[in-house]
Amino acid sequence: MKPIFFLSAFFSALSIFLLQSVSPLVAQETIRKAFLAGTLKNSNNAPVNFASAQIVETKEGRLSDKNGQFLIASVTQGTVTLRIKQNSYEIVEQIVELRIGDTTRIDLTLYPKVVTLKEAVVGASAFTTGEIKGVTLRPLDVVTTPGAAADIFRALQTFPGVANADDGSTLIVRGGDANETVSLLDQATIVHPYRYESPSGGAFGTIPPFFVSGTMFTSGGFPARYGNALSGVLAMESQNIPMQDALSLNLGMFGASVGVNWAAIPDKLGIRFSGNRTDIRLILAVNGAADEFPTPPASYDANLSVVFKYSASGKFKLFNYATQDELGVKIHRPAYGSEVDAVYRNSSLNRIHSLQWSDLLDDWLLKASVSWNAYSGDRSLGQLTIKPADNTYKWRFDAEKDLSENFRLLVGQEVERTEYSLTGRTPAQGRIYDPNATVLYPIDAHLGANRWGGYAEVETKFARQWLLGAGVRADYHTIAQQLVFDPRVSLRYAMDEFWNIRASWGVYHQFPQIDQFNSVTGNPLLQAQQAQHYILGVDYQEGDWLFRVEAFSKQYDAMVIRSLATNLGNLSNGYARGVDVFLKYGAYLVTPISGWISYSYLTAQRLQTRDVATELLYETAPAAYDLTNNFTVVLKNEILPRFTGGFTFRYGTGAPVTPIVGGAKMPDGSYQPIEGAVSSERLADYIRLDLSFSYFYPFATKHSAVFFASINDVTNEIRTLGYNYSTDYSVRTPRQSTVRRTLVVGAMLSLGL
Amino acid sequence: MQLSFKTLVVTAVAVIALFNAASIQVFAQEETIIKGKKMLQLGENRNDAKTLTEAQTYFEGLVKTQITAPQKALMHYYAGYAGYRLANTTTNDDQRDAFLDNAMQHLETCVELDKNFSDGFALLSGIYGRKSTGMMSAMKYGPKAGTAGETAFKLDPKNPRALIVSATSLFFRPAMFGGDKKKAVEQWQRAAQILDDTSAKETAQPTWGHEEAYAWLGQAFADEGNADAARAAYDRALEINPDYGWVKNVLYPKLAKK
Repeated sequence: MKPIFFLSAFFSALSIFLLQSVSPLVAQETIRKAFLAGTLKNSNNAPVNFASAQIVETKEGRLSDKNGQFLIASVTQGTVTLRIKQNSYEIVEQIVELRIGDTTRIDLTLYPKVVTLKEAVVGASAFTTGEIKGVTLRPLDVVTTPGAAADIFRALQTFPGVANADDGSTLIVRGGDANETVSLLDQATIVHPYRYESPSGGAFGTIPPFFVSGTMFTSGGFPARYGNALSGVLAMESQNIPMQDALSLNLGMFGASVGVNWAAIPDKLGIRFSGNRTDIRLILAVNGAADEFPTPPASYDANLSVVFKYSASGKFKLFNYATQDELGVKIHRPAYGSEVDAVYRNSSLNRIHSLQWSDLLDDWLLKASVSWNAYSGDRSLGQLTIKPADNTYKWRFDAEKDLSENFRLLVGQEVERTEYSLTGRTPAQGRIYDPNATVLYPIDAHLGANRWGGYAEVETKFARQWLLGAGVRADYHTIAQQLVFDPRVSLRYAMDEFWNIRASWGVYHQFPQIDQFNSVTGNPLLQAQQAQHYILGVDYQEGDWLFRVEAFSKQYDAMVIRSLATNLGNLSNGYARGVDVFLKYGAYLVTPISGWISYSYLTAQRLQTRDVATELLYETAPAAYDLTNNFTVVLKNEILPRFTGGFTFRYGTGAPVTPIVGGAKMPDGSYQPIEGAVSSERLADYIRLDLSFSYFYPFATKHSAVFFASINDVTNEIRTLGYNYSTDYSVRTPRQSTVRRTLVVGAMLSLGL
Repeated sequence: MQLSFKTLVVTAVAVIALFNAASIQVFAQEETIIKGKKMLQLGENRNDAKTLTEAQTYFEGLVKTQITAPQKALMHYYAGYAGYRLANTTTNDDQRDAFLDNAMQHLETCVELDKNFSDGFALLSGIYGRKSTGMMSAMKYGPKAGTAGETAFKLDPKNPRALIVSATSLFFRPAMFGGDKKKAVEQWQRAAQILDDTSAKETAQPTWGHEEAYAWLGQAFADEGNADAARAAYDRALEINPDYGWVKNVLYPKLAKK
């Protein structure tokens, strides 16, 4: 036992010695520090863990533990600021006094954060797509919308506030005309957003969905950064740098396409190329409508985009796109001098080139772009030939910075130069189809205009549950020689994490289309048209559910309509009022069932013209797109693993039409129409059901194929689009849709390289 | 039958000797594994392929010794874990794939040998997750990762490493494939909490993840724009493991740059 006792005594002595030697050091170390001990609780008196407690001046900090407690040992003393941050709670800052060698104790209560400026869209009526948090729909939801033919515009038509007016893709927003909605891509204005363009819109969107990484569509109450639009904005962002090489091939009854993604220098330089040929001859043949199209609708397009990332935050995006389309369609027994069918022919070339730079410098998010949109068209109907062409050059700069957690500043400026020409020839009215017509008026109009715009906005979280967005923009137009100011305000009250009340008010100006300024058929003295938006809504978003209801009122003023004295004048006014409801559940391939329901109620009146032979009367009547009820259901279901089926059902009240009740014979033998009361009749209600099925087949790790089939317009509805009249307007025949039920099948092959 | 005193004494001595031998063997195995784990930790701290390869070779050698199936499973686990960490040491996609494939083989064998080993399923889920780099591979490995992860949780609902792996997948997966950053943070916090409450004593069983949970939390906080919390989380990670190279040399400097 003795040796053990000896060893034990030795180690005890050594321990005491060491302790005595070290203790003063430990004590000194402790004394040199000031301690800050705290307990964090929420409003329910429960401890808050994983909150950061930091002394702002020294950046010394700790995370709170499961009891909500923290202890900071600081080397400083005196008055300091303690900042408590936890993502689910509002930030708390507290002044505390620290003393070396002492422990300061503090108990704090944290209140739940219901909304942050970072994630919030302040205003009302916005629908977003993309792969970021909080979007309404993902790109995959958009392109898989049955009946949308993978077209962004057609998919957007399923949202509330956008009318189910016809089979085209035109965005008719809350009772406004097609040109009241502006389309943007990477800040560039897409002057002609539709293919197979007509005065009332077009059949498809110009920009294919696979070029786009995200969109923001707003049907009203939009902020000051968007200008020269009365009703809506569709802002699209082109695809970012490709992460890997890939080849895609698409073959169907509508044509074929090829796409190449090349990650030339991974995460630095990427190139995307695509080519597409659309030709629906086969669809028309299969579905028995080929005779209606002497030149079947066909189009080519090609895209080359380059993304160069020169730093972690900075990049250049070069986007080039050209699309050419042509079409020849029979017009049955048209008025203006023909007792036989005629053919309307249209071909166009639309090119978009844009170079965008973006970077984050000194916490400013900066974006600048230069773009050029060139369009030329060739349209003919009988002896009437017109060739419109325009070139739009644009510079745009946007800058935004979060000046604090609760305050954001946005400023920007743009210059848009439009050069327009219209050439062609027109015979005297009434002799459009007469091959021997000698009275041909040449058309040769050229116009150029600049629009200068600038804006400033602030977005602020001014109270725990309140967000405010306020801004003003100014625009000046060189032909109108008018400077307009648009103040806009949005307010959002977050009732809790899921429910919000939103209100927006704003003044919106839009200058007339440039061709309306021509001195022969237009009026160079036209001024900006104006609308005022008032919106109040409630929305709810939790997990897979999204619900929104909004009431709106849009007051129009100085709208351009025909005038006997000046061809056109800012003479019209009116309003559009209504309620939009939106309910969405799930997401494609994420939940077994996904879809959404939209309902809109609308009443819209405008001061309009009424032709009574050589007289022009003015009447306030339902607007052209006063479509009282719009109802859409989109439903998708993963029936079997990777096999999905879905449908879109659309209903819309028939559009108002002004009937022609007779014709007045003119001295040259032609007839002038005598219209009945404006909008005194309506077309039949629009009803359409589309089905689609797809099967996704992945193979050999990196490759996949998608096989798809769709039946559009299942009920084969005979749809009246308007009326044709005999030469003397005594006989009226309905103009009906030429393409009804169609079957489309195809496959898309994607090869990872 | 009557036992003589001598017989009793001899028997007792034999039993004691046998017991001691077994204890010594168990002790020796635990020491052997802890030695390997230290190599792994060193390799991980330095993100050093050489040390991690040595650790992997070490555990692959132990697999070949005369041990029980669950013990073999554990050796495969650590050999696979070394491969999982080796994948972080390269930027070459092919090399990274090779490391992950090797790790996958070890872990698939591991869970085959011990079907009740929650940590084995958790790590296998993480490896499948890291193999899901594109849409096609996600179609192949995504469901496998999900099944392995679910099994890990079924076997041990409080397994902190299963929580870390699951959270990492949730954080980086696109929302369209079920990614959820908020849920990921919750899972990392739960893992950190569990490991805060767990004894720091080194054993033969998997113990990794404590500092890593805080490192991930720090990244999530930084991603949310909460630099204060990110810094505090990194501080906590370094408090747990002062030599943790990922935080010390990569994450902290990255945060400081912001």
